[in-house]
Amino acid sequence: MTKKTHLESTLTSLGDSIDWPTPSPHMSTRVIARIEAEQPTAAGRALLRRPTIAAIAVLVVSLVFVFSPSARQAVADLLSAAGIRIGVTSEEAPASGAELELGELVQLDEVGDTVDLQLRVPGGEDPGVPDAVYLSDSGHVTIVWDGTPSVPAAGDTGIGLLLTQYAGNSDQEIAEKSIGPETGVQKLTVEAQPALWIEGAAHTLTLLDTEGNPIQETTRLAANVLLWEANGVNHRLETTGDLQSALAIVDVLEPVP
Amino acid sequence: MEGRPLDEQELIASAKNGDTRAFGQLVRTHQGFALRVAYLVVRDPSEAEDVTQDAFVKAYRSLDRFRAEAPFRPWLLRIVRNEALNRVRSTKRRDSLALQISSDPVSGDAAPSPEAEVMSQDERGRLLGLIEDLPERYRRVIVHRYLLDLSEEETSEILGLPLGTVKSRSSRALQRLRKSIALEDGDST
Repeated sequence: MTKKTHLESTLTSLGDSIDWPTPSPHMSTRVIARIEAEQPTAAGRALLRRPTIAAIAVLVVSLVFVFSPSARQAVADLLSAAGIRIGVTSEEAPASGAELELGELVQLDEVGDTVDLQLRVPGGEDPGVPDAVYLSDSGHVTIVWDGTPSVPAAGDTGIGLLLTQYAGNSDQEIAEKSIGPETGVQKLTVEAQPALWIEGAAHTLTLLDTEGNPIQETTRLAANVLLWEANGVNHRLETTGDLQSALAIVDVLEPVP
Repeated sequence: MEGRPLDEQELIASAKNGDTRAFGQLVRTHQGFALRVAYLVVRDPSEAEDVTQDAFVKAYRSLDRFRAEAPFRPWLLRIVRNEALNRVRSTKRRDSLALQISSDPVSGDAAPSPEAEVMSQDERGRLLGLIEDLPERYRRVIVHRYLLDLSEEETSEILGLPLGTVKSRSSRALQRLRKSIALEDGDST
């Protein structure tokens, strides 16, 4: 083990000086009371003590559900006769942003391999853990956060923040003709690269790449947009928040492990 | 600090079999650290208490997924931190450190270290202020690594960062702190 430097020892001792909160004397009692309140009923526990029977039941149900609706109904009837009720729901709750047509729902820690991008995600407590991640056919990865009190949801989308990343290193210039009077455009520098902050109600933006070719950018939230490029990756941050909050998010971006 | 690993493994095995008294012992062992990790995120003592209780209940439900040979504390503290992050996302967001120096020379049961004995209350406050001024990515590592006195491996697991990232950020943060301290000392002379 390497020896701590004086500063490291000082910081550790500083931790002892912090006015930390102390646990209530009843914390463990309350935790255990909640756990015991959630324990299965006597009948449920009896079933759980018979793992083989339970496992066979799960296997039968799993196999039959692959087959026809009539077979499913027959098994449901059989189990119902045995006093076991199974609730089957045909629809799962949609993922955050599912209606925005951002692509296929994927896992953040797996999608980086698919698109060969070093994806980044805000590592701070704000905005926190993403609510969903999508991969489009064109290789755009969009990370979604639901609206919160400080970054309210845009319209009726339920979404407060979108971060889209895709390969490319174009110096983008906004095509002025695509911007209406209600939309403000600010040129700035983000991560040492030229960037655009587009504030207002633009729904579709036409950008020009370095060769003057138009690039159509469709915003999903009709909110504010920060566009910039870093290390060969284009970034588009859509947020109901202001420029300062957008830049705060950029500041805590870190590679997805 | 670490306790006797064999005892803890036995408690975990018993808790996995539904022994809530054994899990209660694990709660009592780790509740202080868990509360601190929650407090670093939510910055409110009573909310941190709620978060910590919720996290312990979730940890109990997840015990089947805990690998017996793995260290328990970082696994638990990561659940606590994730629970706290979910809480701040759904309520009010805070981005300051908001830690305060205790009016007592040293909080807790630990005897004061030589460094603590020579630092005045004012000096401790100044150092805490310098940590507060660090960019968040550095501040998080410094606070968990040193103020909570966690190992690099534990910090890595709790923050969900690669070990190399914890090492590099820790090194850069210490460099920044040394520079800031030197600047302050220069100003005061």
